[in-house]
Amino acid sequence: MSLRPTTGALAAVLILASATAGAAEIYVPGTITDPRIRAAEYLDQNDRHFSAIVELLLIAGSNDPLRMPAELQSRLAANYLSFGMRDRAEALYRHLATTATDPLDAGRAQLRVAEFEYQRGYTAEARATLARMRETLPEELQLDWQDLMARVLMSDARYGAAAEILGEGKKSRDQSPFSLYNLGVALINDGRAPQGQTVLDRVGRLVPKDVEELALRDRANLSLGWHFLQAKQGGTALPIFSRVRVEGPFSNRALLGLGWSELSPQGERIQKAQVGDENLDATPFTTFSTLGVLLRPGFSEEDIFKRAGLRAFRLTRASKDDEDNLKRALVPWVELISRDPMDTAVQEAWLAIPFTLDRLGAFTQALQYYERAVDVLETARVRMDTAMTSIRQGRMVETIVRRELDSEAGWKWQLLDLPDAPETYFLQTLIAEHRFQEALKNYRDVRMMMRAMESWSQRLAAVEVSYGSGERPAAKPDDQVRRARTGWSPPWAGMPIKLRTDTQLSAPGTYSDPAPTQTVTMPHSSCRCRAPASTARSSARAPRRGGSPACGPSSRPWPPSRRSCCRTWPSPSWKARSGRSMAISSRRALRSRAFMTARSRAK
Amino acid sequence: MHLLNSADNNDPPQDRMRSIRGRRLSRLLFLALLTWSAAAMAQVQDATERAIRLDQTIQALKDEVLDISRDAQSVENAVLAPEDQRVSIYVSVGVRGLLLDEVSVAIDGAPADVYHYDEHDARAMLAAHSSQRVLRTAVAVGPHRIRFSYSGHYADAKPDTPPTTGQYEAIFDKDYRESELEFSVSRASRFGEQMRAGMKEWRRQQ
Repeated sequence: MSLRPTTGALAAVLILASATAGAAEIYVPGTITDPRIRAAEYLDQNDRHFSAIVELLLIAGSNDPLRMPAELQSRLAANYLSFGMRDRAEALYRHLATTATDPLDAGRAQLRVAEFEYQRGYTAEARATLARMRETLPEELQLDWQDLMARVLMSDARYGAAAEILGEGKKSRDQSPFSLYNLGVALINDGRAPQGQTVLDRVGRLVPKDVEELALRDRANLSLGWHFLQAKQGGTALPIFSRVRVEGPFSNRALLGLGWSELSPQGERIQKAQVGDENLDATPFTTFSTLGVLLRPGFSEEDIFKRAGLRAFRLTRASKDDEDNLKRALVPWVELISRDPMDTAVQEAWLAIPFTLDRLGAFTQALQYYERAVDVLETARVRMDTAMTSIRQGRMVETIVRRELDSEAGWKWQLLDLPDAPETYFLQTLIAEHRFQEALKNYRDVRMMMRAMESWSQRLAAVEVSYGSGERPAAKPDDQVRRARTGWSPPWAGMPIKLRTDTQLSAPGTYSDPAPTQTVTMPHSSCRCRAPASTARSSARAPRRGGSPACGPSSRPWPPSRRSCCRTWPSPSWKARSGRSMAISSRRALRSRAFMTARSRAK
Repeated sequence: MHLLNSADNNDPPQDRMRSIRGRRLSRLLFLALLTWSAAAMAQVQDATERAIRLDQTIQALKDEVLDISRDAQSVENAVLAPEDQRVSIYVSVGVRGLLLDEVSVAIDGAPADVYHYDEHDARAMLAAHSSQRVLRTAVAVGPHRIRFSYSGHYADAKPDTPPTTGQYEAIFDKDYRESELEFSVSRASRFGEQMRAGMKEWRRQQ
């Protein structure tokens, strides 16, 4: 049910507020009420992490981000990580962990860092991060931690440790099917094949909730089937291959294995190892779209030779059992050779069929098939040569990168589909690996930054033109001073100041010696100002410091004055003061400054 | 191992020679295999290390580019919209499922700045604590008239449903500090169907 207007018609709301806007709400920079922080949040949500970081750095200004509010730090860390800057992100997350009020948020952040480290190949660092966070790990993140730690250990070929991690604590029903699959693989690689087979068998029979789990189910069955086939357990492998879908990423390899299962030794009956939670096996998943349907009675017995393109022939060396096995093996292989010949499983099937025919004594038919296989493989070789040429030209990578040239998604960027190029087929397995994906992301980021720099080059040139054109309205000095003084407090604020009679000072006018003066040339050639020698240098430098152009008709004057660009100073009363009183004042000023410096240090 | 033990001392010299050659060959093959596998392992490790070094170099490069971008943005802001003349306009959406199609902001008689949203942009606006800066410009100190309008649709709206629109007009006083104005689109009442656009002025704590 939707809560939106059911009329669906125009809901134009016109509010004309002729009165001035209400009083402004005050925000503390870097907190969640800061609109700039929320703008950075929008950029983050929009996968524009580069812009979000720049925005957050501008908020921090000259301050160290570690001294800014936690909201800014957490957003900066998240964006750094999303943009692939692990070192920066980790420093911020570590700092946040010391002050974190929500352990769940802190734990999630640490897991993200570890996931990044694992994907980018920093496996030792990922292990260290995960080990560090284990003591304070919230219960809700236990499974995620186990899953990631196991993957990290398996990438280092430490299968025993991975199996221990995945086997501890929670029951398998709480674990994700992906963790269970990893557990099965870890157990088999650790030499505990019976337990591993049981776990993989469980994954191979799960009821999938989505397409990913369906693919995982197929993969588990494929892995297990080939594991049994290599162990000369064709009879056990056969029903497992039969569970794989007819159409899917693993179906070709499963079809190949299904055929070999018919011809390989059937093996002994295998006893299942107990791994606990056995009741889960009571929910088998069945569907009509699995390979098992291909072996239904009738389908394999009738016309299989005809479907294989073979004329009727008599097997001279085959027994009845061998002939039956051959017929059954041909069913998946004939299906397989109708698929894309670039797949190695299909190519193997093209050779497996004549090999089997040859073994059974059907030499003429074997020869025919070998000749057809030569043609198919030759075509595949030509396509492979074309693909190699294309790979060397880097066309596919260029096509991938060009699709989202200005995307700032960084580490979160995902390759959703592949371009139609000759090499795509060969590279799809490689592209799916982290080492390729992460390198591709870095390459994309560098290209994006190059474009950003080019853009800045043009924008800054435009800024320079605008700055020199004098089109901008001159800032009012009074406003600038007022703005500069906003939030400013004098360094002596809070200091008790007492008035006292200074008997050391001479009365004004006691000394008649004039103060030394020096002529100072102001930037405007027609203006000549006089200033005391002690202030001459600083006065002459003032225009450059302020960055103001020379005073002229089209520029702002320095020192700022609405009436004239030059003024004679010091004032007559100041000029009349004696050199001695000036010296005393200077000494006092110095003492006062020294005191203030000492005070600020003491603070 | 089988090859090593297969030769018997009673065998004829040709067979023994063949056996010795076989042994040598097998040793050579074994050594070659060892060398190849060690080289392959080293190659994999080297590739991993090179990938990590490259990643760290790119991280340092990103750091530099971010610094440059921050400084450049700062310069651009200071020149094109100095703080005493700067007005920043933000937009936020507080209605679940309302995807903006476009917003426009006009100050005084200047042409309106229009921002068009795609699906991804509009969804980002719905995230918690999310608001978009649609305009940053320079105006003189004093009162200014600002006009904001928006158009959007609900995520589950049918294609022929008319868009939801609204506008807001107000006068704001620009002083010598940066003005930060936020327009928000929300429901007029908790259970109502009417949309409401509002404006809020923010000021940085000094």
